[in-house]
Amino acid sequence: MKRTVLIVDDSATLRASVQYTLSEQGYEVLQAENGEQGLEVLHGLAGREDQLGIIITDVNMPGMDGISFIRKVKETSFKFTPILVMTTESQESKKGEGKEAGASGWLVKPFKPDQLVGVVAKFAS
Amino acid sequence: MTTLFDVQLRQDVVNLLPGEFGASGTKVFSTVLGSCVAVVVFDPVNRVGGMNHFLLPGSIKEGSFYKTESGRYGMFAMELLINAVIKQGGDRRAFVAKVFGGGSVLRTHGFTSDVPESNIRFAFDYLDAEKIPIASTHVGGTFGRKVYLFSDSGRVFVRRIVKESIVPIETEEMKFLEKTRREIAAPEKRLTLF
Repeated sequence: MKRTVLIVDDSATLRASVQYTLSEQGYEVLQAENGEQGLEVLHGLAGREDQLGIIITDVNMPGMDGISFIRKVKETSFKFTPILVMTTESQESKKGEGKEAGASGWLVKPFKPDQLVGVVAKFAS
Repeated sequence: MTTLFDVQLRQDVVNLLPGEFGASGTKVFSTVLGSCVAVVVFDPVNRVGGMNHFLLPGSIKEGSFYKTESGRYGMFAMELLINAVIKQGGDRRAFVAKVFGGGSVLRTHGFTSDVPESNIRFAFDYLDAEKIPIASTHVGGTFGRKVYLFSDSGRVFVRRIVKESIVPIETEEMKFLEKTRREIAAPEKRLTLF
């Protein structure tokens, strides 16, 4: 089981919520406020790709948005790390963009913490 | 969400019901609040703003709302509003907020009596955590409110609603509270795997 998770979201409360939920399950949670910061965190993790279980990203963020971030991640050494999109957006066209960019899953808010824990465990195993 | 011509303002006004939100750079929004809370988010640089209308059913502990289901539902309500203002061209770094409502008018059958206080506290805690400064508030008391937001300027007018007019608001809010509780208890299937 890979125990590190990266959450990329411009909402401080959302990051705190994910940190709280996943820390309770024993994960180490790294945080970034937007796509650019997310890429910086990944750059710092280079060489330890096997430790990162999953990347969770929002879609609507100032600066680099979630879909562009996913495309960029796919050009790095983390291209095989599963990416879960976590968003209020539920339109099929948006999901299609995420899928095309290389996301592994799409979780629409609001959801139960158990749902997040379940999908993270599935991907990070 | 319905748009009606307001005789006094002599312009169209978009009325927001419990659970709804709206954002614009030109429109006027209104909403009627009893125990519910409305948060206004406005970007004074790009001159766009929006308003929501929510009511969280449970008690929310101070400073740790994201640990409760009610609090997470409130985060969702706020995120929908913030995203809507951003889609209108707003920049969250410029946001200022205004908070309204949370009057003690709801008969709390089966609910904890601190629902209005809890909702006000959530709004303040959320905005504090997101570093969105609060420019003005009109909260609490034992009366209802009608709130108008002029989204081009961020100006807000608040009118008190007298006790005799509160019964229909109360009925509407009780229905909304029940609906929210059902949604929190049994959310739809929300995960798609690719």
